[in-house]
Amino acid sequence: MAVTIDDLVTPLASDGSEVRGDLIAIAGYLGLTIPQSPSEPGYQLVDMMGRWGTRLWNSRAIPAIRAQFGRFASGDWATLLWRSRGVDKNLATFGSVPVRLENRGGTFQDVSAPGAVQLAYNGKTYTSAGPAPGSTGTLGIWPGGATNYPTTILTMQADEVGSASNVPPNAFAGYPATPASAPPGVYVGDGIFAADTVTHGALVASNGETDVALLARGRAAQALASPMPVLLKFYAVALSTFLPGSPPTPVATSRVRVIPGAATADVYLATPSGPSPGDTSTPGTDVYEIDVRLQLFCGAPGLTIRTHPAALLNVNAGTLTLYVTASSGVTVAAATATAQAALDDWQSKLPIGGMRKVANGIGYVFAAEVGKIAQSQLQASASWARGQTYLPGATVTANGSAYYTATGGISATTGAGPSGTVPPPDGTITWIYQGPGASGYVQAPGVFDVAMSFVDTAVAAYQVAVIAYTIVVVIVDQGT
Amino acid sequence: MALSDFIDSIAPPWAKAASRVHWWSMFRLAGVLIDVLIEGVYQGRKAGMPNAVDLPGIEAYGGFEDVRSLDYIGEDLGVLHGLTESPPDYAYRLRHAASPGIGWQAGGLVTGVLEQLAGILGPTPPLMRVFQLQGGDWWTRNQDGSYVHQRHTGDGRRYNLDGTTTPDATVAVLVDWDSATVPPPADQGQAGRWGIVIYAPLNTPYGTTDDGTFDDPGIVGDLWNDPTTQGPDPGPWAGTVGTNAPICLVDLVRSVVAQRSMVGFACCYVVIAFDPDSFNPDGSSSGAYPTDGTWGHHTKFVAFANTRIPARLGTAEYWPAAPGGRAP
Repeated sequence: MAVTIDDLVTPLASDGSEVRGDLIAIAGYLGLTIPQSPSEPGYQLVDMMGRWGTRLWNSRAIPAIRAQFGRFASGDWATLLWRSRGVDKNLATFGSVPVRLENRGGTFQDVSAPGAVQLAYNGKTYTSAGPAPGSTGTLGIWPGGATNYPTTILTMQADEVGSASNVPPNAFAGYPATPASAPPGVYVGDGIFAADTVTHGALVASNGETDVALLARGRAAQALASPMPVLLKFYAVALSTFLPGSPPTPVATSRVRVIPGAATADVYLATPSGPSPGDTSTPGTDVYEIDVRLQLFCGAPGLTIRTHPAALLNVNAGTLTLYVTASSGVTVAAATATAQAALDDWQSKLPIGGMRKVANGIGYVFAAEVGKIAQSQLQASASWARGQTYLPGATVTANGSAYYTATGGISATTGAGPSGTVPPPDGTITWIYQGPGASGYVQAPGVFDVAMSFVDTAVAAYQVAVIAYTIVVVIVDQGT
Repeated sequence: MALSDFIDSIAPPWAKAASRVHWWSMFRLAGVLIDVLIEGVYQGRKAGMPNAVDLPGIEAYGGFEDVRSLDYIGEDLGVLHGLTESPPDYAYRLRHAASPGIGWQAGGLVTGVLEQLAGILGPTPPLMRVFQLQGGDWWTRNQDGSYVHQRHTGDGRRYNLDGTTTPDATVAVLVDWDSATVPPPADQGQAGRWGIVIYAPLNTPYGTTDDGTFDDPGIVGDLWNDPTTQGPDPGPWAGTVGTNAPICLVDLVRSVVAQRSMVGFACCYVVIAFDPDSFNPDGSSSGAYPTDGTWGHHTKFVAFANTRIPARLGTAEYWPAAPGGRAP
């Protein structure tokens, strides 16, 4: 066999040694003997060719080849792969919400232009995008006395993408707090002179779909071609549902379980953090909107589809004691944060009904798995970026592989990031190769054992487990 | 022509002079490196295309020989790979993953289930039938790929390979699987239940015969033949009771059925028939049919004899279609 699929998706050693060795051997066949001495010019030339050839292969060819397979594609390549199959990645969104403003001043104000008003909340800013439907964006003169203030409603949009800019309902500060930027006399408020209030909905944004979620949705989407409601079609329809709005946002639901019966299908839904919100009677909620689409696209004559939020099962895993070697240099805070990140990520993907060892058997939260994850480190799905500051313990994906840095630093301002199994320094960062792919769990540095009293906990088929735990870290000097 | 050879072919004579030939060899070496890089990209692109072919005059498997790439593609398209299915056959099914004939556009239909089963049981798919546990509709997929739909009402038809149809007036057997079964199965009387009959050999060399004698390890090395061995959770290639099919083949058949059948209409049994004459929809088989409602369990109680006897036809094995088995 010539080249294997493994050859095509596995990066070469980034120091070019593999290519260099092959070139020296081929040179021999061409009648050219190259001494294996770094001081020899011929060796240096071949070494140079090996390095640039490896860099070219690892940074350009491999990501493009890996992009053809769902299990290997990551980042933008994964987005392109699934888009070519009709499945668009849910991107991070800018949250927006209509907010009523009032004019307490004696001057007519026209705030209809985008950017006329800017609000602030929790360190983030929000800029007006124009009047909300039905509003003019103009504020009349307040006549004074006990008259209510003139009001108008503007659509306020977050300046920063993602859930970091989320704002709870009624959280923007009203009078006397002044907006971050607005004409004099203009405040957030409902305009009620006697007892002013601030009333607005929640501003909610999405962080965008992870590669793992996109992979699952993309594979399930193959069943959308099915004219009949096969199992995968339920998953595909549910996970591709959007909530109405401007713009529409994908549902928070990320976990689906279908329990078929006699001419029935009970569909249970959960988000990464627990049962999906809403019910089949409340428009605009996950459960409602998903049920709408399931009835429409999976509702065969004679088949009864019932959509439910998964039932919550609170599981207390108790104290998980991590043992860390002192020589690793890992701090209590770092070990705790690493374990929490891994456990929270893992349980956000735990299937409804738990895990089972016997097909169609009872599902569990298995203690052994909790213990394993507590000792693990989550591989990041975030792509490497130039000139980026990375904290100690950060993980990135680059050139089809995952990397970890113990000390952090600032990445180089040029290039394509770390590649291969022994990547050279990247700016001020030393990356450690973790493996191929962009997600999963690897052994956390320094951790060598975990102790806990938690035991296997049964989960009913319609339940979603939410696991509480406490991390305790014990650092042990192995030399004493 | 490889780039390195091309470089050599265009080299001016002075470049190949004895005092400079080592530089020219370096150029050729650079050409080799570029050749390999480009070839790698070329092979990589082919790896992503399920075009594996094996025809005279065409490079084996379309030029990319590592057919494991097909399984990676199959993961994404939801097409399972049979144990003995040849790479070209699997590649064909991958290319038609969404087709209305054999792919997802037939999902939930009789043909959608049977065509995928035929695929994973290739290269020589067995004769297969779909029947209702309470009803008289029978579908048969012949080994040549044609279909016959026979009904108790006598208005069935044959779907010929040339696209034509021929009326079939056969009065098909009216199945009553378990209406009189005692104790009643949990799903007794539920509408929409169906089953599959697959005639042995299933997938040569697997599913060709029974599981042999107690001390016969068979083709898959049945652990149950050795009572002194406490195996771990059985590996996928461990044996099963009743046939010489390994666990992985049973799971593969069940997975295809679960994947391609319609939710809410349950496939209850996969019947492995060792008698090619059994279960003929026209009622001509000499063996028993599931018509007396007592096939809900393997045995039935005979009151006057105060004993239990086999309830079902003894020349077949009955796999529960759901992983983990059905309720007794």
